[in-house]
Amino acid sequence: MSGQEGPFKIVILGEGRVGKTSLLRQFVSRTFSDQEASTQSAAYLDKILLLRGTQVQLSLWDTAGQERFHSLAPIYYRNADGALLVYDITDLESFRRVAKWVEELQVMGTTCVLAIVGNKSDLQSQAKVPKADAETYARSINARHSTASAKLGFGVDEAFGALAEDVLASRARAPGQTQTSSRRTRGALVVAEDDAAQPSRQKSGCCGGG
Amino acid sequence: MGDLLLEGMTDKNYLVGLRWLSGVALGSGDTRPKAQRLRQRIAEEIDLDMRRTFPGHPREAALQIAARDILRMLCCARNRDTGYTQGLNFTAAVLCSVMPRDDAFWCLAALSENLAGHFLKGGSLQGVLVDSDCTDWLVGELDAKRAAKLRALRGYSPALLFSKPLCTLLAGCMPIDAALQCWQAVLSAPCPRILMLRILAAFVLEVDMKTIPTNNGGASEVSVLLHSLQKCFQGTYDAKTLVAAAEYSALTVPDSAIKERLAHKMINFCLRSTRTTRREALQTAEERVRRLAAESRARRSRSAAVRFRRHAGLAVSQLLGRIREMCAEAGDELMMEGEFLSELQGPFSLGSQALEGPASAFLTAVFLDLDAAKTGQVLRKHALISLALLLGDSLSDRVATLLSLLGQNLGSAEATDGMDGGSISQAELAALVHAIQEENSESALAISEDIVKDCDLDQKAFMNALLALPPLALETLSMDATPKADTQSSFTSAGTSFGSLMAPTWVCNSGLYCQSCSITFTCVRRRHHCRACGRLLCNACSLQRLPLSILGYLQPVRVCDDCCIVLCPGQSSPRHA
Repeated sequence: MSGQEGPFKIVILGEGRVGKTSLLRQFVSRTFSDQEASTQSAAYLDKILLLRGTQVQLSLWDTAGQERFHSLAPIYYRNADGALLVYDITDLESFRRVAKWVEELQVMGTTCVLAIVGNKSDLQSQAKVPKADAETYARSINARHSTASAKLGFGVDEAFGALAEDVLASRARAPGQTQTSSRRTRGALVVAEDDAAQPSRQKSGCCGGG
Repeated sequence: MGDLLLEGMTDKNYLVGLRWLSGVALGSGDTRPKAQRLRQRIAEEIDLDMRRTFPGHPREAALQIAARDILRMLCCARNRDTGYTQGLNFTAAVLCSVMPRDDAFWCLAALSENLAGHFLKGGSLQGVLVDSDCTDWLVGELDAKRAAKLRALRGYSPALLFSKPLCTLLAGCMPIDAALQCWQAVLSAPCPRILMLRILAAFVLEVDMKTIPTNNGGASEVSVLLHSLQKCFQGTYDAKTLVAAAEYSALTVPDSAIKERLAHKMINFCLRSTRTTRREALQTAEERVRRLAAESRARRSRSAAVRFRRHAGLAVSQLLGRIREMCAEAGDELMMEGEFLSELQGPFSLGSQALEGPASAFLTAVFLDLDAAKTGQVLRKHALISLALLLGDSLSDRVATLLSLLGQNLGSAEATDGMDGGSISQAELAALVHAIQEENSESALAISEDIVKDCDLDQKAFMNALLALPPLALETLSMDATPKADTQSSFTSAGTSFGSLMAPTWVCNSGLYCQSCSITFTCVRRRHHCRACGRLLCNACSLQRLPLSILGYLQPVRVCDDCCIVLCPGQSSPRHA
């Protein structure tokens, strides 16, 4: 197999400040700054990867992590071929958030390939997320798991490369379903509201007679 | 100092601003753990983002400290319910880089509240989607060819293009000079939000379409467009021509059209974003109305209930025919889209027994409102909003009261001329609008309220209608009218001039604790809204009762202690028993 493939749309999701932009920077331009500007809404980068003699074009969508940008997320992960879910190994909360993203992607019916990456592996001594747990979870949702350090550049290429390969493989398995396969979800822009997290929220009215 | 700082603030914010300045609303004395924790969390978020604001700027440190300060003031003290949104850090830093800190604060407050108030409030940025869609539509109106080309791009979505400039209020994506020029124009415009959308549309029209290559399939990646747009933003050092172009576009597409579009989009959005399907939402709403009506019926006399029911039953059969008729007659684009129509027909055409009671009365009222809209544009929006309200599963006892009021009035209307709109009094319409205004329990409804507020005309009409209300209707409407306080001193006679004060936006009902003392609400400790500032409070913090004639409350209504201090500086001790 040789020639060109893609472009594949890869979306990077994860809680705020886990290092999504840094990972992407490291992957695309091999640079790192410990003072990355916060991403507003989303940013977009291109990268061509050489995978077993095939040029694979990736369009990488970096998203804002802050929770309230969540309602904008569907427009980014719609039609995505792969999703890279990033958490911070020193922050347990960010790992829990990954599970929420997975759940949402599943609810939305997107068929994209998932990979989970634990960032900041250079801070192994402060790690709060046990690697075994993360791997068990990744297996349960049929996703790859790896750790990476955007700062030192460890594991970054591997994470993206593995995801790209999975995307390629899934494409090979279902060749008819290229490009427009996920178009059907287009109209169904369901905005995940915060209610989902707290279904039993009391909605009693105000001033009930007082 | 106060006068200087208050300059440039809109009337809408005047009261809040006064309270902020006087320090009562600052929450500085608020030492309850919950409020403190919330503030702490917002402050932490701000701090974490500060290091990531314009890293590498020559005046980085000073800028970040100033920006942090004003963001803390804005998000932790002034607008505690809006919280902090990433992107505001850039806006704050830009402002701090060109003006003293205090001025920057007021500018930031004016900007964020005028341009982003509707999407910051809900805690999620749904309003951004509404605004983006609307801008996309505007581009289509101004240049259909170009819009068609844009929409043909693979993966195109309006929010992709517009969410970033909207979230950062233009600061994060264009040079400072240009941003300042845009802000100046926007803040001096009668409708800031609409001019903002016009400017964004003008930007898209600036993008050189030739730079966007189309491949053989005729579809190219939307990312190329994004890059072009970004380049266009970043290359703009003088926004004067753009602002002029934006203002000029008012000749092609009038403000009113955009307003209507915003309302329409918002409603569609409300409907779409309900987690349950629309029909389910409708049924739940209907169920709730029925239950509430049963309760209110139990409280009322039997004969009134019978009359109410009979009328509702009568209304049903005419209702559906009327909906169809009206839609055909008016050729109303909004209604013809079938969104509402099909949903309404579904559950309601099953049989009149399904439509027993107040739901139909409410619908009747809504459609009478729509009917009236044929003559006046103004009311159509309210009609749509009320529809959204009904479908959006957010009816509460306030609407139940309204329903019974409407039921009675409709009874008399029936006697005169069936259901013809001519006999519907001003009071009913006002009451409807009133209820709608107060029903902002959802973030989407907050957006709707903002839309209503954006329309000066509507607001005026609403105010006039409200002031023309007979006191009796007001009393029925206002839940707080029952405990009569003996004071008759009116808002204006208290010596404070709130001449052009707008009705406050009520804080969402889902709040878990009092915004003044942070005590948690329970089934015994109920939620209450201060009628003057709209905050969600416990009874203990809102013991005062004042008539707010300027807001249409002729009888004394619930006012929180903080507002009471501002409104009646002389009276310090609570009078209410």
